[in-house]
Amino acid sequence: MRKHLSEEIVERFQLRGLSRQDRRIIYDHMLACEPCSRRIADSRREAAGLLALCAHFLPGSEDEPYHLNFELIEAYVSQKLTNTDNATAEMHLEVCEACLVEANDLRASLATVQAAASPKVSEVDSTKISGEVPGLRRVLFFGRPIRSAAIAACIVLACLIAVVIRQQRGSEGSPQEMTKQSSPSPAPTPLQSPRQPIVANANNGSVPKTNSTATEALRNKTPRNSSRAVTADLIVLNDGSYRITIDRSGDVEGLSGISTHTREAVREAVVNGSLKRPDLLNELSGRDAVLRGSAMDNETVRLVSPENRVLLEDRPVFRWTSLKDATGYRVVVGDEHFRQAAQSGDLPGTATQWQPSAPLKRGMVYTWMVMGIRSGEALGSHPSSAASKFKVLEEAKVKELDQLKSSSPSHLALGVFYAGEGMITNAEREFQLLAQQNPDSAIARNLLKQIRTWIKVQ
Amino acid sequence: MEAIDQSLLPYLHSVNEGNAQDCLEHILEVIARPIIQPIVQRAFQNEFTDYRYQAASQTADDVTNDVLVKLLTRLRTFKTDPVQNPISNFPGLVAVTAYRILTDLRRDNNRQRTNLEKQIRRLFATSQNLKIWKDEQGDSICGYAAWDQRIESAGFKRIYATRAALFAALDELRVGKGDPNTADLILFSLNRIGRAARLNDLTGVLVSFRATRTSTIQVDEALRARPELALADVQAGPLTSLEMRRLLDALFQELQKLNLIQRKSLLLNMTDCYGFGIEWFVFTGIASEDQLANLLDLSVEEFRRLLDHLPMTDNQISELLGIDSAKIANIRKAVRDRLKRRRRAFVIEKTE
Repeated sequence: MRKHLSEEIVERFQLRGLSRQDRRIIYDHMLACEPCSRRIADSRREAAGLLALCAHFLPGSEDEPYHLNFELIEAYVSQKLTNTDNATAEMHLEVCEACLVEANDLRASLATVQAAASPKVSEVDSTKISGEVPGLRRVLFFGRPIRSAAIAACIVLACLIAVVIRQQRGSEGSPQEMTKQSSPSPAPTPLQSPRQPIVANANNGSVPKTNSTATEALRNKTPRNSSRAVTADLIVLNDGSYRITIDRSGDVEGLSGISTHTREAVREAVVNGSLKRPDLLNELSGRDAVLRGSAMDNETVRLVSPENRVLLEDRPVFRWTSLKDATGYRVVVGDEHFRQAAQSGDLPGTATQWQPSAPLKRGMVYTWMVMGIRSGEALGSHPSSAASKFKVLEEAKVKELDQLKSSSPSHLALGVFYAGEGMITNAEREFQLLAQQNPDSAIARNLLKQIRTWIKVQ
Repeated sequence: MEAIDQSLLPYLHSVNEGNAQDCLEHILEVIARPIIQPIVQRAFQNEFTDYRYQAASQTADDVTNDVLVKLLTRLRTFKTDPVQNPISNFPGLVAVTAYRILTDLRRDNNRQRTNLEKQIRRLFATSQNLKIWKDEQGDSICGYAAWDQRIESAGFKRIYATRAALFAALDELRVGKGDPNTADLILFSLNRIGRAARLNDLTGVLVSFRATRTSTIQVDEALRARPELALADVQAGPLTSLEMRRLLDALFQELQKLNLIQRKSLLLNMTDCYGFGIEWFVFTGIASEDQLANLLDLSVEEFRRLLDHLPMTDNQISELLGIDSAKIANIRKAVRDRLKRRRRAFVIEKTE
């Protein structure tokens, strides 16, 4: 009969002083001897053993969290990991959202960069250029100093001629004018047609005039005008990270993910060189509703914003100028059916702005007014108050705008969208950026000029 | 026995669940929170003063809540066994826990930032049209390659995009429902601003932008679907022996789904305070010797011989498996994270 475990070895176990040999003896014995098994693994020690197993198999609360470093993520995305590392990475990505986001982001980012650097557009345009003026493209692509200087001189000359012709014509150029404004250097993709960097005077930090030496030097490296004549069948505009082309048939290329409606509006704006003024602007600028009381009256609050505008935000900030001796103000917002949509309650005399706590219903035209309060009394409910109209953009249009911004952040498309919805300040900003990117484009200038006219009228 | 913090005695001596909950609420809200908040506010004070206010405010709230959850777990362990898990200085424990979580957060932020900067460099290296260069001050500047035109006229200097301008540009994307990737963000901001940017600024802005768009807390799919169970394992308190046994049954099944390298990396270096390791599977009857041998792809005889060499160090395991020893530790961490998910599922089942 097999002997039970000796008291000495059990004691060594209890004192946590087992040797390797002891462990083997205990292990072998416990497999066969129930009483000794109970002596070793009694309820307390069994609990300790269970706890030890759990502690070993689970991360401790003080453990530093494990994450994949960039090199591992990059190798995983590029499928360059060994089988072992790949299995570890995959197992970790199953449970770690942060690393999964990083891996997916890297994969998508690489695809974006590679797609943006794709030579597709470049090849198409280059073919057209070289097909119509043999040799021009080849000359433009050389980087040798003498030829560069000659090219620069040609460009300056071309610019001067263009200016003289334009002055003689006495116009800003027909809307049908065809332009080609991208750099002829190997750069026609979104990535390859960057905007010119801004330089400033070191003394005062201000942006120099466009004819400054530095700016000219930079401009001369991208001979925008030189290829205008050779692309008579195209309208080409640099636009943010895009280059938009519109061919003779009116097909717009270079904008993705925009609605048919917006695409058509963009095409019309570029081909016709004009924007259709939305009727809504007339409604918003209806003068009879704008001011009540005398504009020169010291007792009339002057409204600053929003004034005759379409707004993206549904909780606009209402701003006004302070009124002499006013001890308080009250803002009231009414909808087009003259129902009260929001009101501020009594605001202190120092207040010159207020934002409603709840959003206004979208798609509605509102009228808002501010009443000055003096010594607890409103300064006349109508004669001493001012009112102005605004509209909050419809939900569907907000979605369309979100889509437009995320899928195709184009100044042209955004400008046309804003103009169409009556958001003329936003439209002006987009067209201004478009004009900055296309300083020689009559189309961009016309769009900007037109929207500024609307703003003046409004 | 170590002295117990006096402020915890009412909780320790509470006899019913309702009373214990009241005591816990008092401890966490009246004692702990006033200690945590100034620590967290000091840590975020720079962010509170600029355009990152909203993101910083949210993160500060998250940190405060994380500290409270940690304390809750610790208090429950304390109540279950005050001798083994005494708390002699509760305010000190609160402060240490808060600082530890802030340290973890900083470490994680640094990791994210480092990874992002490397990613930006990788993306710029991928495209011949993008470039990172050094300016006269030695700062790394990133932008279109065409922008790297050294302007030598003495009267002019280049202006780089400010952090505020980068934030403003990206804010336009914030309202969008799309999910732009990092390359989209970089290209959008460069085109929007039309200027090169310091790599450091671009990285910082992108980190903040991403932080506000993605959850900082990792959530399992099960918890995503059932957010009310998020605190289940905290509220469940320490497991009983029977529950641990059931959990280990589940973990053992999970172990069998791992590959051999993963199983060996985890099992071969286990040891407990008595000097035993995976033998506890056999002693407690959770697994038989055959099952353990199978798990390690060994015969029973080979398994018994192996026991004489356990626990193994990472170097020994790496030699046995023929892979780098640093990877052994990482494999083990990855496996533990996976098993943790199984534990959480177990706790959720238990709660239900």
